[in-house]
Amino acid sequence: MLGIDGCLKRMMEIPGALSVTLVDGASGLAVAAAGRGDLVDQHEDAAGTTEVVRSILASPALSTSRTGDDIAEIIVCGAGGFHLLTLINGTFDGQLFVHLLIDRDKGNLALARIQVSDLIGELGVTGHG
Amino acid sequence: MSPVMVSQAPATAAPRTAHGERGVHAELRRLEKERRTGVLHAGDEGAFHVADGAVAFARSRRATGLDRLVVESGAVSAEDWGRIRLGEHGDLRADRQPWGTVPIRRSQLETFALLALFDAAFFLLESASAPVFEEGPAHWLAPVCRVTPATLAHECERRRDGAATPWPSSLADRAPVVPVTRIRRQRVILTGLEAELLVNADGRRSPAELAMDLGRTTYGCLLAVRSLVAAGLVQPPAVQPPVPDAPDAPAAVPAVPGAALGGRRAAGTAPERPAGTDSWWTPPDLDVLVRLRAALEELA
Repeated sequence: MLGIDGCLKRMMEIPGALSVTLVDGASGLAVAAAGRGDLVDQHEDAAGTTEVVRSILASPALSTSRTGDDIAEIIVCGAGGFHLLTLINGTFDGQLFVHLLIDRDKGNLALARIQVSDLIGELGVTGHG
Repeated sequence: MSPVMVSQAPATAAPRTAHGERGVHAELRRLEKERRTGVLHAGDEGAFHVADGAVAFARSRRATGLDRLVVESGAVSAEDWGRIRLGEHGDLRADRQPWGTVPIRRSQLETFALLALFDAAFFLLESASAPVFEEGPAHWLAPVCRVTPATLAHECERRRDGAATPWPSSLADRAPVVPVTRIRRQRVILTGLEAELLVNADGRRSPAELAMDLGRTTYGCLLAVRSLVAAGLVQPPAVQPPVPDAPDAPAAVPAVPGAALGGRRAAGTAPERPAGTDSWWTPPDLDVLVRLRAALEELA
């Protein structure tokens, strides 16, 4: 059975992964982190990404349909890398999400999206193991 | 638990301290240095459980407990949780232990434990009561949850109220959440948690009470209530924050004639044992607060 750290370690094995943070969006808490933290530390990372997630959830312009689809992913593309924010829906206190930073040259966004979703399943969202 | 949180905590961030935090936090640092195991009581407000110097668990009377978080989330049934608590699945130590029989995923338990720990620590580190350490066996969560005091202090510092917060954390368990009767907007967008709070707000329960009933973290609910106030959906708290217990805080109180305070808390009781536990927990007397405000306005 993987613990949180095991899960994050697996996410760091995704090609091009530079850093990963598991964030509680309700409080902005960095639940756990792995990888490089030299640009921003995990706490800054958590607080900053929480703001992004909150403002997107609050934005009518960015909700995908009139019925209010749940936002599943938020992707920010820079010249050097991708930020992938994957929201975890399930049996947790609310609004956990994963922030994965991927190197643009070494990584592949589509692959990373699939792998992150799989690993989030490991975190315990799809029933109990 | 996360080695990152344990090892990479910026040691420098540690003792910025509001008054009152110094006591509990300094004591945690000392216990960390001496690698002690036991319980650090913060008056009647709650306690930290320390294992080998690391904080493994915390409970605060103002924060939603781990039990409520886990059970209300639907992750495990109350019966299963009771069995986990009783240790029927054996020692949780070591990754080698077959987790298969435990009816909760390890990562889930870790996450809930951390959420509950930081939630309680936020209120405990504000506590002004003198901490008392009691040596004892490690908390049952010690194998899955370990956080350094420096990390706790760093996170609690981040959570501390901003200058003009619409709902100060000192009112988390004091002022009721009262929805407005008329919404002056055409369209309203809420997060799930905000909607949960709004449909459950009955005008009597405080954010902390709502959090406990809903099984959400108190701090998370406090933030949601703040944004509801900012969105004009919930009335701002009718109660004034309690008199600041930090002597370095704006010294409004001593300036007020003792008479205006109705003699309940005479001017200048602040030093030494600032707003000791008893007075801190006295429910605010609205009448006194109104008169206090009137007196302050007169002075201004």
